[in-house]
Order: sequence, then C-alpha cells, then structure tokens
Amino acid sequence: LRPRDPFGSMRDMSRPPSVASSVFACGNALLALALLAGVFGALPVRYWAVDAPSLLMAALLLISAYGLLRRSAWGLRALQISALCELAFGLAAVAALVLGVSYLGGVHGEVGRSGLIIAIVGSALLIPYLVIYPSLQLLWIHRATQTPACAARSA
Amino acid sequence: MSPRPLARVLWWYALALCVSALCIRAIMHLDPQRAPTATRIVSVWKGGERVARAIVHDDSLPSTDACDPGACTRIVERVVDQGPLPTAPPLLFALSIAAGRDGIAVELGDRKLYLTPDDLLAQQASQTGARVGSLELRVGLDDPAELLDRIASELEVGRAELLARARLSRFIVRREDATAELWPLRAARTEALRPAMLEQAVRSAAEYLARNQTEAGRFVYQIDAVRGIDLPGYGWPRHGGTTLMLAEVAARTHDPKLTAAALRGGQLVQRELSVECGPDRCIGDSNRVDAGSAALTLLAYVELERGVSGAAFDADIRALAKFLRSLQRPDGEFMHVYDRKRRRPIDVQLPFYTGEVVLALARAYRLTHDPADLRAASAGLAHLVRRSLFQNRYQYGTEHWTCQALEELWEFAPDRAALAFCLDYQAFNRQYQVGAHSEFGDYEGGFAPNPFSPPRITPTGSRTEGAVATLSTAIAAGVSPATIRELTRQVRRSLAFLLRFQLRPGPRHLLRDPERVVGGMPGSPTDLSIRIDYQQHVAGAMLRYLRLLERHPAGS
Repeated sequence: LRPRDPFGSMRDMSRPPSVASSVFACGNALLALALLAGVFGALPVRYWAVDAPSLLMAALLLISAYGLLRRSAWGLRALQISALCELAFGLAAVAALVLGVSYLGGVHGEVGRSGLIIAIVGSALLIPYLVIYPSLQLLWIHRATQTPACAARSA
Repeated sequence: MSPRPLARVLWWYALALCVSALCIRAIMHLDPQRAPTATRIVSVWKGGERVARAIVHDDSLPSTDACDPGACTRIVERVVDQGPLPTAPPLLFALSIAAGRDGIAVELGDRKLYLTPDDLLAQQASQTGARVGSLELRVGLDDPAELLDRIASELEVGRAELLARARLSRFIVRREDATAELWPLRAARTEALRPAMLEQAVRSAAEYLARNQTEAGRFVYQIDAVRGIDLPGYGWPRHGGTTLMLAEVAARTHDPKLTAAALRGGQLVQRELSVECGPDRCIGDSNRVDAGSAALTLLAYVELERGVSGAAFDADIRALAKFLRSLQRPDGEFMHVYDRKRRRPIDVQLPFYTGEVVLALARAYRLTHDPADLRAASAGLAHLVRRSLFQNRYQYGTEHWTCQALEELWEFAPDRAALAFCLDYQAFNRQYQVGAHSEFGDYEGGFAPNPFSPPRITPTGSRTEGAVATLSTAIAAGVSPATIRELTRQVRRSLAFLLRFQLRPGPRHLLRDPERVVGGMPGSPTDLSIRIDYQQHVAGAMLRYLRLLERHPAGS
C-alpha cells in the first residue's frame, strides 16, 4: 500500500487532515464506542465468542482513528485493516441474524410478524454501520492509494 | 479494494446467504398437513405416569391390558413428519424443539425411543424455555442437558455414548384418541363463543380458588399441576387481585361458597396486614410497603362492599384511598414504595403499580364520592397516557390497567386522549395476536412472548381485560363501527384461546391429581403450573366481556 498522500502531505504535520479522513476517524471512534457499549453495556451475559472479537474490532477502530487524526504513515494501513475486519464482522453478523431467523422459522413453522421485524430492524441497524460504512472506506482508500501512473492508465 | 471486486464479493455473499437461508428453512421445516406415516405411538397413562407403550406400524391398536380401562387413559399419536435434530451445542438442541408440538425420536443400534409431545409435557420440559446465563430466551427446551441425561438413562447408556452413537430426530404427531378433543378444548372457537361457556369458565376458575384456600383466607399461591404439589412464594398484590376477582364472581353468582371465599380473602388482609403508614393505613407485612398491595386490596374491598353481603370495609376503603392519594406527585405519577420507619414515601416506580392505583382510586370514587379520589385518578390516567416522541406511539409496554381505568373513569371524567391511547394500544396488540392456521399449534387469539414460543395465558388474559375495557369505552364514546368490529374480534379470539386451555379437565392423563386443579388456568400450553393471578386475569377478562354483553348485546 503506497498512499498518494491523502492527508495533503504526510510529513507536513502543520496542515490539517482532509475532511474525509477526519470523518472516518471520528466515525471509527464513535463506532468503537457504540460497539463496546452495545456488547459490554447492553448484553446481559458474557460469552467469549462475542466479547473477544468485539473487543478486537473496537481496538482496531480506535487505532485507525488515532492514526488518521495523527496523519501517521501507518494510518491508512490501519484503516484498511479495520475496514476489512469490520466488513467481515458485519457480513458475519448479518449472516448469523438471517440464518438464525431462517433456522428458527424452519423449526417452528413460521417466523411471525415480530420475527420478521427483528430480522429487518437488526439488519437495518447493522448494514449501514458494518457493511456500507467499511465498504465506503475501502473505496476511498482505493482511490487515495491509486498512483498517478495507475490513474493515467485507467484514463 | 477496487469497486468491482468489492461489488462482486457483496453480490455473491447476498446470493449465498439467500440460498442458505432457504435451504436451512426447507431442511428444518416439518409439515403438519402432510399425509401421516403408518407409525402410531400408543401410550397408556395412569395417575400422571406412563405405564405402557407400544409402537405399531399398521392399523391394529394394542389393548390397554396394562391396567383397568376405567382408571387408565390410552393416547394414540400418529407420526406425521420427521426431521433432523442437532444435539450440539446444547443451546442449538434446545432451540431446535418447537415447544408443545415436537417430539424426539432416538435411534441407538436396534433400539428406538420416542419421547412424544405428551412425554415432554409430562416432564415439563418446555416450561420457561432455553436460557443463556441469566438471559431468558423463552424458546424450546428448558434444560437440554437434563433431557439428554434422561434419554440416556432410559436407553441405559451414558450421555457421551448417546451423543456419539445415537441418531436423534424431531417429529410431529396427530392425536387419534378421543381425549385430544378436550385439551385444548376444540369446541371453544371464536365463532362458537357463547356467554354460557364464559359463565361456566369463570365459575370454574373461581371454584378452583375457593377449593385451594385455607380457612384463614390465604390461597395456595401456585400449584404444579403435573406433579400435584404446591410451589413456594406469595404476593400480597396478587392476593388482592385474586380476592377482587372472587368478589366479582360472588356478586354475580350469589354462590355462598364463593362469597365466603371472597370474604375470607378480604378479611385476612383487613385483620393481619392493615398497618400504619405515617398518618394513614396501608397494606403490608414489613417496614417498606408497596402501593400495589394497597391498590389491589382497595379494589377488592370496594367490590366486596358493593356486591357481597356481610362485608364491612367502608372505613378501610376511605383510609386506603387517602393513603394512595398521599403518594401522588404533582405531575400525576405515584410514588410506589412507603418507608414506614421514616414515615415517608420513596419516589420509585415499579411495573404496573401506577395503573393499579389509578384504577383503584377510580373504583373507590363510586363508593366514597370524594372528589379528591376522582381528581387523583384522572391526573394519574392523564400521566399514564402521556406521549413523548417514541413512548406510547410506536412501542407499548404490557401495562394492562390503564385501559381499565379509562373505562372506570369514563362515566365521571371522560378522557378522550386516554381513549385514543387505548385504541392505538389495542391496534398495536392486534398485530402480535396469533393468527388462525398457525403451524405451531392451536393458539389463535393468544399473545406470545416471541414468535417461537407458545402464547402465555396470563398476558393474553390481562391484555384482554384492557381490550374489553377499551371496547366498552369505545362503544360508549361512539367510535366508528369498523374499530368496534376489530376490537370485538380481537377480544373474542383471545377469549376463545383462553377457554381452550383452561383445565376443565385438561390433559387429565398427565396430571397427578386432576380433580384438585379443575378450573385452573395454566401458565401456558407448555407450562402446567397454576398461579393465583393467572385465574384473576383470565376470569377478570371473561367477566368484563359478560358484563359488556349484558349492556350491549351487539358486542358479540
């Protein structure tokens, strides 16, 4: 990964970060806090299979947010890793929700209105933050890291 | 990642997820409508115990020579469909059983064991549903490990060997014996609902309470109907509610036994639990007393005073009403706990108590004619139905007293905002009422805690109390005929559901002492324990509807 310098100049610490990197930094920090509050505040039971990945994910989000705000050289790499993990996490969570409802619907013969609502609301809450948001980050990183030569070729 | 590969990944993911979801559903689905197999499971039950079993694969049915036919019940269950049953992890095993409908078949070598839905009901295997830590999922089996141990013990192997060598599957059955008509009571359908059926059910529920009451007036709080044993615990708010229901039935039937039982219930509280709360009288047996006990006792006293001869509760009614008024805050809310030692109320709110207090003060006003009672009740009702951005608009709790208070107050202080609230609340409830033709069971009209669990009896009863009160007020307020029709249908479907599951006599063959629990309302179709408040809410809903029919015969 060789950034085209999305922060303006990596080495010029006096220049503020770009709007997009600031937005992603704040977004990642908020998402990390929401994840920690949701898992450790709202869930009434502790289960390592949920707690450990959530903790890891939150740590990655916070590290990438810090890197982006500090305009560190490793900031984009951290953002890419956190976005990929977040996307995988989101896709796994949506799959677990949909397959869980489908399994219970198969066993019990019906899902019912409230079952459908749980699946739809759950997916609607997860998809924007854990699928669309990291996808946008990956696309932004892709654009930001395209070398001028690549850009010229694609033109 | 460039846009194209990312889009490709997401597209294949969505496609794979849809296909997997459809496949999983198809593999796990059991079809109760398919043509039954030739396999019949014939069981003989006596005194709540299974004493014989035979599996037949043709039309011949073995005789019940295990015991005298008069003393035994023969149950014939025909296997209709069978499907896979994962056993690990235990939580998945627990969630894979549709409570009350599925049985478990086990094949180990040449041995085959069937645990029919009746067997699981007799073991109360799905009383509360699976748990994860302290989280109640209310789906499937309560304790999968215990059930696997029982199966292993019946097959004379260890659990590890059972899990390693046996093949477990789920199956559904169709009952082919005459007792299947009795529970759930097939005759109790929405369209066939008659007042006489409700009268009989109410009387039977009240007789259950009178039968299970001590001479001192205390009720048997909860009975495990399968094992025929009393369960521990007692709640004075529930004692008050139960006495209220008994007083209402006694006033209606003039039955001396029910009248005596209601009086005993009221006099016990009057004699032993009336204590001082600062300058007032309240109900309790400890330093901290709650508003719920006082409110439900006040309701019971008022009904006893109004309808039962020999009652002498007038002074207590005024004292309790004064105490409850003293707990009200300026915004209409009530403080729910009183500290007797410090002689002051504690401003905490507990579920349901505000609604109970409002209803109690509104009912008390009919006897006291004290404008302060009416003002306090009206302010409390206005507080209960206040709407914020989300509260009481898109989501409602299970509070069931508010709409009863609305009806009680309508004659003296009609509150249109409260009526609008109750109409919206009932429309919200209707969305979650179990529909006809459910594959899950004969549960039309009930309200379940989630889509994968049988409806609970008490929440259905309490919601119906509120629904009948809303219907009654809507008729009085001249609400549109379409709304009245919807409410009426909602109420009748729920009442039919409640009638179907009352133990009259219920699944006698599974009960140790069926005579003792006749008239009882179980917790749910899979939880055969009976608590006093189950009776109160179900009979309360039926009584309200009977009274409504007398005022407005068109309400049927």
